[in-house]
Amino acid sequence: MTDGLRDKKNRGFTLVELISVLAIMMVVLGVAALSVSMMFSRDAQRAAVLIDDELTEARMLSMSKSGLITMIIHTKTDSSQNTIEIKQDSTTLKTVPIDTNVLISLKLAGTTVASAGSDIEIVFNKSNGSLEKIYGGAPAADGLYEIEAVAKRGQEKTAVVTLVANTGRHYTEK
Amino acid sequence: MKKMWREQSNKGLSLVELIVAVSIGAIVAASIAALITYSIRVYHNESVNTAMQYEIQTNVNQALDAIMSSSGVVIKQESGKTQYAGFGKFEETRNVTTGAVTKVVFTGVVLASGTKDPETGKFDIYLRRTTQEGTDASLAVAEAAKPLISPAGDKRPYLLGQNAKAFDITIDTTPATSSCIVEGYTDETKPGKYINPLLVKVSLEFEKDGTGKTINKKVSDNAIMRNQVTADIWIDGKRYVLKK
Repeated sequence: MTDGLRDKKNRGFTLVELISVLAIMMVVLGVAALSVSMMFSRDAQRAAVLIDDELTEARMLSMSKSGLITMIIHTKTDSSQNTIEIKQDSTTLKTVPIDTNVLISLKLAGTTVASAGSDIEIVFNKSNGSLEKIYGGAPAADGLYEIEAVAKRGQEKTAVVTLVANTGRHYTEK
Repeated sequence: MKKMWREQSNKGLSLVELIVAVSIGAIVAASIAALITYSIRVYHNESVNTAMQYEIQTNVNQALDAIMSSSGVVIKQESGKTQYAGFGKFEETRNVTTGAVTKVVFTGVVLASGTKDPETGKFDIYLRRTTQEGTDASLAVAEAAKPLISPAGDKRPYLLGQNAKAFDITIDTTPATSSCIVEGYTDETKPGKYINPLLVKVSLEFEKDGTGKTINKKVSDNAIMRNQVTADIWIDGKRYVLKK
């Protein structure tokens, strides 16, 4: 009777069952942790791709439209939204919100030119698309500017948009 | 009773039925997969095509802009290809008594081809806006072009185009065919002569691998230097002076 009860109703897990359950849970947890960290790193990546796209648009507008085309990245340190604004003279043509979970700054050869919280102003030359003005002044000779997006969450992943002053070319590693 | 129910309603598929179903499924899946890969390939090739069109257009625009706003030119050829070309303003300082040029300050744009990749034969195109001086125009431009053509050093601050297959900036120096060179170069003491305006030819070829095919773009354009050229010009190490 006792034996019968043991056999049918009150049996625990076998070692094999326990091990396989633990192994499956570890795999599931591993995948979940990886995707969470990927999601955080995508914050920075997404912001960089967005900035790169808007630079392309601002550069094209500069060369095709009349008036002064200015692109301004309004960067924020608090939880308010980072935005990109493209202006024709003083009229705003478009405003694009960027992820709030990133800190955006401007660097030149590793040195910070504009830290997060400032407005980064970018103007392209109207006839050849080279960089004419950045952060209120003429760009440094042979300057290689980096707009850096750092994710606030997770392990502070960064993504960089590189901007070549001589030619106005810009790119981000995808 | 129980046995009867099992036999009548709970019968599985026969092997033949299963094989037929699986093979129909496989055929359908294969054709869908083929369609998807085809559309991915078309989309990818089309986006490479558009990106290259934009790239070649901006490259040519920058070259033409430099040419048209310049008033002097130095072109350096290397084994028949343009190594670098400088377009801009050349301010000459001359010796008061002899009239010889003692110093030239160059302000403008230098375009250069990078080192060819030995495997693909492709190279980058570089551009630099700068001011440099030298004892003559060709030396001033050579100084400005130094970081663009030296094998060492970071070239990213000068990057203009990638995946170039051919890049040439030329001025026809044969007096019989050229509209601007009237007397060809003879020797060091007797420079060739040219007349205004100067006609400059820019040709560019880009090539990039798409999916399953190579995408190639070529542009060739002529530009006239809008400004009166007053300084001596240098083409492939030879000096040309303005015909008076």
